[in-house]
Amino acid sequence: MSLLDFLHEYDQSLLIALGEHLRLVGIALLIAVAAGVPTGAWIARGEHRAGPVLLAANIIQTIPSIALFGLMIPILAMVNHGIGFLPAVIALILYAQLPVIRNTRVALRAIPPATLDAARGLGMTERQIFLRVALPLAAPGIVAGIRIAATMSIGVAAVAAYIGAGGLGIFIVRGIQTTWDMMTIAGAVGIALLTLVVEIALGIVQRMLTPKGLRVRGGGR
Amino acid sequence: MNELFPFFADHLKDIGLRLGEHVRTVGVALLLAIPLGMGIGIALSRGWARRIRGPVFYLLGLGQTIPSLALLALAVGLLGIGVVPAVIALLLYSILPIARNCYTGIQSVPDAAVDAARGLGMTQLQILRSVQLPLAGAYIIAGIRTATVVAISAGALASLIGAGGLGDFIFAGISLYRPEEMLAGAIPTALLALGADFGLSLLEKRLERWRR
Amino acid sequence: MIEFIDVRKTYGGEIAVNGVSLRVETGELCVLLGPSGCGKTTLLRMANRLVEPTSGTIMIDGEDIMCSSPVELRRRIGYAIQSVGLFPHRTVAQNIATTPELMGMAAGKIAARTDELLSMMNLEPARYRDRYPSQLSGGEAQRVGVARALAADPPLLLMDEPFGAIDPINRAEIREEFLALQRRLRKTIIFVSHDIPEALFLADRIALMRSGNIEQVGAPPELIASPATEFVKRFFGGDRRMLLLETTRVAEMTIPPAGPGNPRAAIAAESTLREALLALMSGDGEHLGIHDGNGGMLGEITLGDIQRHMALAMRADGEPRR
Ligand SMILES: Nc1ncnc2c1ncn2[C@@H]1O[C@H](COP(=O)(O)OP(=O)(O)OP(=O)(O)O)[C@@H](O)[C@H]1O
Ligand SMILES: [Mg+2]
Repeated sequence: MSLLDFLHEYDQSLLIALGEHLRLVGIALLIAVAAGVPTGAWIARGEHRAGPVLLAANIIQTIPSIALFGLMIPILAMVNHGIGFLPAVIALILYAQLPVIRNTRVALRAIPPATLDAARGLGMTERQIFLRVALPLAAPGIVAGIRIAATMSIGVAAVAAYIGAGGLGIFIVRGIQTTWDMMTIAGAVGIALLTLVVEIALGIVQRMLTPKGLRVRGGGR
Repeated sequence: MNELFPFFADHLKDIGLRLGEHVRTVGVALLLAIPLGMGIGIALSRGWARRIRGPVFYLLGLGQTIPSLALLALAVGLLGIGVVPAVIALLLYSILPIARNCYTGIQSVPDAAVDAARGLGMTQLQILRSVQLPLAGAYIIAGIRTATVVAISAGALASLIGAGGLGDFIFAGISLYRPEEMLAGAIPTALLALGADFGLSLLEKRLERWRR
Repeated sequence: MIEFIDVRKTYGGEIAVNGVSLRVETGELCVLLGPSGCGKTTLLRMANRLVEPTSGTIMIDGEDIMCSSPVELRRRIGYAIQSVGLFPHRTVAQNIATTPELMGMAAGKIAARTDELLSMMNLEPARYRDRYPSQLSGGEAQRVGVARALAADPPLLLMDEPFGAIDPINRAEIREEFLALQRRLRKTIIFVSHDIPEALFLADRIALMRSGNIEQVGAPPELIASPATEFVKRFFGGDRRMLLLETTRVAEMTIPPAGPGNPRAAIAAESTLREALLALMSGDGEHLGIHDGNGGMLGEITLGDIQRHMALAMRADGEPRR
């Protein structure tokens, strides 16, 4: 049986698994961005807060994914959600914090102080400065962080198949259990392709969100 | 949770054994990845590599985005089960951070320092060995640090393809739903990663200070 | 008119501005001059509440600035800085439109105003309107910065070394353009500089500062000719006579009425004494006619008149008054 035959025969379950995978990663990323971007902005304003926050995010990031699941399951089991979607989504959110927070902070701090000073001096409110000046200028950097978080999340979500969260990782789980290499490879290739597609798509989003004024250089003098 | 400590006590020898396997798989992969990665980094820093530098890093970067579980699964498909495919997968996975940091480190050496060395009559090789690499040390260690953490994490998954390691406890614990066994694997794995990260961060700081 | 009354600013224990009182009249360009770190920027930024004074009062047209919200206050005051701080993601036109937009001006009016300002800054609107800041030279960017500060037509302008980041040649040019513009617009301007020629060239009055205090306030020739302190004297360096020649306008001297017979050469009363001196030395007559720029003769001067004026101005060889 060739890979193509396999894909043909299992197209339905592959699609379902892909859907689960995207749902898990998508929900986790939405929450991670909603939490991480404000946190990044918060520590960009007060440098003394950056150390502890980044340290915590770094520690979480360093813990291997399967070990994090192993640590979380017994804890979440106390509220009867030991395995499945919930621990997976929580792990993904935690992992995504470091790239999102770090990139948000770096992107905001890279804005020249003179630009912000001018905005204030021209009479913008703090809210206007954030929404009209800081955010557009930091957007590419923030999206770069989300991009890193997204590729990482797809990988962790693959491992989450082992704790019953579904997704494309299921094919690897089953394939290894039954030593059916075709199934393992199909899962692996699917995950790798998904990662590449998301990586490239977010790269395009990043470029689109880069203000034109930051893209053009020395236009014509 | 109450069973945790008795389980640890009963399986101390087992845990030690799995830890040993884990360190072995990761260690062998890194021992191979460090010279390879540095070789690539050094090669790409040479003038003649200017053209291929961008594409090579792009390809390595894309390879790095492939999740470790997928890479391990592919290794099974191509090489079968066991320690060797695991080491190869980990090795491939560790090369990029080392190569990229080695390259960045060499680039960060001020041209003036290289010029001065050339002026003193050093050969290219001598400049590399006694000027560029020492000054790039902190960067290279930072790359090895990233690679080590990544490899320890992937090493836990390597248990799935029969390479042993602490992952054995975690996966067994999950499939049999035995929390104490999960923790017996998860806690040492997390500590191993955090310990390695912390240890190498100290080394990195030391080299940074010495640079100034 | 803006008035600082005993304004102080301290950071921790450090004094940045030490009880300064200064009054800048409507239509006047006052330069804050002084060495690095003497408190010029701090004093300036207190006027639009980018820095809050530790104590003291600042009044604009008789109204305490603390009575309006900072945002509202800043929209009424133009602000231009050395690093320009153009918004890199907005075009030249959008940058200039910032304050009018904030104040809710109609789009059509804003566009017309933007073009008007660009022309005023000698930047052809059609060419520059849609460029991004990264596509401008340093000098062009600074012009746009000034245009942006002028956009809402504020009566008061705060400028912190607005021409600081350009090379000397373009700097001299933009400075001249700016002075011509100011002669036309007659804004009230506080202008920070640490460049002596720039200050002498632009200022109606200079406030010379030193470590948080104002050492002396006065028209440029006054500071050069009769420095109030040793610091003021030294600040302008050894060749103060030369500076005086360069900053005093012929109109400021007593001009004797023209004698019989027409002098060969004539020069506008707006010219500096240095120019008059050069004309006298290169012409063949002893007398130099002075005209008012519109064809009317005011009188004529000789080398001796300039000498007498200089001697009077630099009384007691310009020893400090205290
Ligand atoms: N935010 C701040 N915190 C602490 N000290 C400050 C702050 N801003 C200014 N200072 C101090 O106040 C003093 C005056 O600074 P200011 O910026 O007003 O100087 P300046 O005259 O504009 O100098 P320059 O010509 O270099 O721009 C300096 O000693 C400076 O270090
Ligand atoms: Mg200043």
